[in-house]
Amino acid sequence: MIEVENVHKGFDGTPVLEGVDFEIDECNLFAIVGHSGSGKSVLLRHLVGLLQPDQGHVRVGDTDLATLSDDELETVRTRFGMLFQGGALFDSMTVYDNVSLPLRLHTDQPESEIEARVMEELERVELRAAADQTPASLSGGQVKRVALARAIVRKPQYLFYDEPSSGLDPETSSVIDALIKQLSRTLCRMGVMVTHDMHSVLSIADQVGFLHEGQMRFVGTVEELRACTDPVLCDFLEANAYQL
Amino acid sequence: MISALASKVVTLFQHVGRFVRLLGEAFGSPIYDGPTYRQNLAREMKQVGVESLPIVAIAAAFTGGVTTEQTIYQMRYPLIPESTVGAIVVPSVILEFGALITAFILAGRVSARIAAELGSMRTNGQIDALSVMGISASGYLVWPRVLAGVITFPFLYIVASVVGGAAGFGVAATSGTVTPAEFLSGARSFFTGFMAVYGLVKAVVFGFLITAIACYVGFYTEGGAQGVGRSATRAAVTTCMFVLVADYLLALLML
Repeated sequence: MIEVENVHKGFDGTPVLEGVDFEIDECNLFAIVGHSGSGKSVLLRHLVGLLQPDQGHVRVGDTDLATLSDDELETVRTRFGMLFQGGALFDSMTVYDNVSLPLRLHTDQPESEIEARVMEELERVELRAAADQTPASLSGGQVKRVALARAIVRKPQYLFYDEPSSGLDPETSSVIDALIKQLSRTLCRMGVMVTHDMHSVLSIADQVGFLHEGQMRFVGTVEELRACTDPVLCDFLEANAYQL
Repeated sequence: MISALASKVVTLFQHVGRFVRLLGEAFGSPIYDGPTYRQNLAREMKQVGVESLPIVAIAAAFTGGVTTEQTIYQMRYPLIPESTVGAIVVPSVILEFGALITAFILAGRVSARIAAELGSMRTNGQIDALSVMGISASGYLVWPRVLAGVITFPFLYIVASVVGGAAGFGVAATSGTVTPAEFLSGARSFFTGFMAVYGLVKAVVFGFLITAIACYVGFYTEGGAQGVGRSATRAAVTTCMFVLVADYLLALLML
């Protein structure tokens, strides 16, 4: 379970998050939506411990991330996997080396086991043939898929997705959505997704949080989202109607 | 005026604190996987050391040659023995020019590259990706680069000193003013083992400063492409300044 309690955060005196509260249950995929600049990415960075709240708590399981030392935080993060918006692959490494990196640095597995595991995940994202290529030779969608393979190669308990379908064509976006859905439903990984893509949200999310002016204005299921009564949320959904 | 000065002093201390913290984290973090770290260190040593060899050798050769020419020009009075040329050129190269010329070349070539590389990794999210994977980004990225600088810089210094001295000898021998025997006699009469030790200590200090400052500047890059460009420039300028200050302090302490 992930629990966010009364989180406040500001930068240079400008408040970005102002008392955010919500909880995410095991095996659920939680989508955070909102206008640009509403603090979605800032909130996501709090969930993985890249930022610490000025006030409030972020708990992953029973652990309050703000109370951990750097070493303890690194240990907790071994249960995390994250898909970054631009992929964040290491361009000096091949696809294989990128995906195998978490296994090499955190496990004592022999090379044969690492190779089998890496190939299994590359197979899942349909990029087994690209193992020896460098990220520079891949398309945007392929980079996202490799980054997803790297995020899940250690079978993390918690998965975080920052704009997983941004910059992708609808077909590739659907492929990424299907992979995220598979990870959440089949493998029971808890997922948190920050996105602008309402089509993705409505098709794969279990719960949705609407972040507006630094506060979580709505938290509920997709069905509850569709039956919105809050005028601000309804306006946001109408503005994204072309995606629905 | 006073508040602006105070603000600058506070900023300076913040930089020093973050610099020390970054290095503490880098060298205090666990080595997760020996082969991967050795591979990173070897790659950095190749980029810092091997790939800098040609430019260091060329710069050292010209510096040695020019120093000899200028010394010969200043020694044109008949009362000064010709062996003085060797006595000035060789110690100058070993004590000062070998390390300083190498440092300036690496400050431009290596520190700008390291700062741009880490800055680009910061802006592209790769440093955050390492952190989220549970890997100490400072340990993984900073440690091999600083160690590579400290290990390879003394070798570059030795190459620069040998090439600079040899170039000086060659210029002296072909000048018609100083015979090779006189040049070597002068060089031998003033050379001491301490000079080489002093030069090597400088090389280690310069190697550390150049790579550590570059890592610091690059690691904390802010902004996009402009930020990366700023970091590369700032790293080159800052390392040159710190090399000069360290050069003076080492001379005060050791000579």
